[in-house]
Amino acid sequence: MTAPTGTEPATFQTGLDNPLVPAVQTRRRRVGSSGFGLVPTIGLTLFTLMLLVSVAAPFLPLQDPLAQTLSDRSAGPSSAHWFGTDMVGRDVFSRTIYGCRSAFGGIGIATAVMLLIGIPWGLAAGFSGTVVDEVLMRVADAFLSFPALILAIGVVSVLGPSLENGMMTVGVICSPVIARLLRSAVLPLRDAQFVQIAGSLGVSRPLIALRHVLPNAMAPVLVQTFALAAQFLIVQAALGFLGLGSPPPAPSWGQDMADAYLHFTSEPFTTIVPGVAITLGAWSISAIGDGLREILGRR
Amino acid sequence: MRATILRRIATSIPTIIISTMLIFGLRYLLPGGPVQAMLGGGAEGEITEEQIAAMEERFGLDAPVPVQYWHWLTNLLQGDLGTSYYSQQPVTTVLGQRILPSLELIIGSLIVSILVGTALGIIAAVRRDRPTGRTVQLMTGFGLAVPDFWLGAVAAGTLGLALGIFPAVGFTPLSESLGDNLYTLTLPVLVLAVVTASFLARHISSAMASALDSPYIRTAWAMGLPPRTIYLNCALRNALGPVITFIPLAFAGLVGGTVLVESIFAIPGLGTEIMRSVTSQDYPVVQGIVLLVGVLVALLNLFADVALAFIDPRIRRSAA
Repeated sequence: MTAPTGTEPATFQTGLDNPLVPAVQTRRRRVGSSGFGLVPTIGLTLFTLMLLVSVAAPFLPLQDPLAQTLSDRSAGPSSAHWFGTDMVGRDVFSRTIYGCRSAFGGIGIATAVMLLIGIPWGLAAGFSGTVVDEVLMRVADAFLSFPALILAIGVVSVLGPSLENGMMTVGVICSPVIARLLRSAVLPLRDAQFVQIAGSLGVSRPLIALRHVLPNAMAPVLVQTFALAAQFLIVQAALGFLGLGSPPPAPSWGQDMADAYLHFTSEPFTTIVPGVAITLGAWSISAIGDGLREILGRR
Repeated sequence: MRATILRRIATSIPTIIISTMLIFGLRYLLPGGPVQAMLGGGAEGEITEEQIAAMEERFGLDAPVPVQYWHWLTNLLQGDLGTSYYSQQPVTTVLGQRILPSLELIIGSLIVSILVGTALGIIAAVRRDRPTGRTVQLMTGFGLAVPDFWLGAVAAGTLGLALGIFPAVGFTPLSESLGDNLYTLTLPVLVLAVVTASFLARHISSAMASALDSPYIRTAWAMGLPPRTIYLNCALRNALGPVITFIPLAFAGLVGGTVLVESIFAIPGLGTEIMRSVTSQDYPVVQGIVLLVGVLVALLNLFADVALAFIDPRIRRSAA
C-alpha cells in the first residue's frame, strides 16, 4: 500500500488543487449568508438562471431557433433579433438560449457517468487496500495518461457524432480523477475509530464503506466535480466545434461557433455570443466549486 | 536519491504496460474492425469476404488478439509503429513531419504560461485580501472558463483579419525562416497560454497562500527579513511543488488544446493530424499519436517526481 504523499502527481488538467480536507470532521460550521463568498454567490445565481432558462426555453417567448429567414441573413442586432441573425437568418439570441439545453444536458451526462464509475472505483481502492488498491490505482494511472479530448474525438468518430456518445466517453475518461481523489480521502478513514467500532458491532464491510466512510470522504470529490463539470462544458463545446456534437440543425454553442467564425469580420456577433455563453457557464460552475471548497475546507 | 528514482521507475512499469494494452485495444472499439475502415467507402455488401480475408492476412489481423498484441509490442520496441492506412507511409515518418510545429506550439505556451502564471500566482497570494489580488483571482477564474478555440477564433478574426497585425491563418516552418515561424506562432501560442497560465496561477497562489500562513513565515517576519526575501525565497520555494507537478498535466492539456487551435490557425501539426486520422479511422496513426503523447506525459511525470524529490528532502525521506 502506498501512502498518499504529496508526491503523487495531481489528478487532472483542471488545475484546481486537491483540497486537503481534515479527515474526520466532527463539528459542522453553520453556513450563513456570509459563508458563501460574493463571487460564488454570483456564480450560483448565474448558474441557476442558465439552468432555469434551459429548462423553460420552449415556454419562453423566443423565436424558433431553427426557423430560417433568408431575407434577414447575417443581420446585426435589432429589436427583433437582439444578437442579430446567422448565415441562414436564424435568430442568434434564441439559438444561444436553446444551446443551454444541450450544454447542460452534456454536463449532466458526463458528470453522472464519471461519478457512477469513479465513486465505486475510489471507494473500493481506498477501503480494501493492498493488492486491489494497487491494481485499481495502476489502471487509473494508465487512464490518466491519455489526453481526454483525443479519446473522446476517437470514440465519437467511431460511434457516430452525438452529444450522448461524446459526453459519456468524457465521463468515463475522467472517472479515474474522482477515483484517485476519493481513494486518498478514504485511506486515512480506513482505520478510523468509528470504522473500527462499526466493524466490532458487526456491520458488514460494504455497508461501513457506503454509510460511514463515503459521506466523510465526499468533500474533496464534490469540489472537484464542480471543477470538472466546468471543463465538461468546454469539452462539449469543443466537440460541437469539431462537428462531433449534436448533428447540425440543432442549436449548439460549439457548432454554431464553428459555422460562424470564418465570417468573423462581417458578422462578429454569431461567433462572440456563443463563446461568451460558454465562458459564463463554465465560470459560474467553477465559481460554485470554489465557494464550496471555502466552506468545506473551513468547517 | 538513486533509490527514489529507481522506485519511481519501477512503479511506472505496470502503468506503461496497461497503457499499451489500452492503446492496442482501441482498434477493437471499431464496429467493423480495422479492415472495414481500411477498405472504407464501399456500401453494404460491396466488400467481399475474400477481400477482407486477404487484407486481414496482409496486415496480420487474422492472428489471435494476444499474438497481435505481442507483434505490435515487439515492433513498437524496435521503433516500428506500423503503416498509415491512408498515406501508406510509416507512422514514424508521418509523426516526424508533424511533431515539430506542435512541439514549438506547446513548449512556447508552456514558457509563456510559466512566466505569466507564476507572476500572477505570486501577486494573487501576496495581495490576496486586497483589490489587486482579488482582481487577479477573478481574471484567472475567467481564464479557466474561456474556451481556447473561441479565443483563437476571435483573436484570428480581430487581430488577424480585421486589423492585420498577425497572420490570421497559416504557418511558416522553422526550416524556412525563424522570424516568420515565430510570427505565425505568436497568436496560437498566446491563445493556448491563457488557460494554462490561469491554471498555474491558481496552483501557485493556493500553495503560496498556505505557505504564507505557516509558522516559519511568521518567524521570518519576526526576524525582520525584507518582504522580497520572504515572498520569493521562503514562500515561493515551498510553493514550487505544484509548478513542477503541473508541467506534465499542462503538457497533456496542451496536446488536447492543439487539436482545436491548430485547426483554427491551419497549422500542420499533430493536432490537425489527430483530427484527420481519427475521423478517417487511420488506426496506426491514432495509436502512434496516443502512444507518443502517453510516453511523453509519463516521462514528464517521472522527471517531475524526481525533481520534486530533489528539491524537497521530506519527499525524499518518505519515499525511501
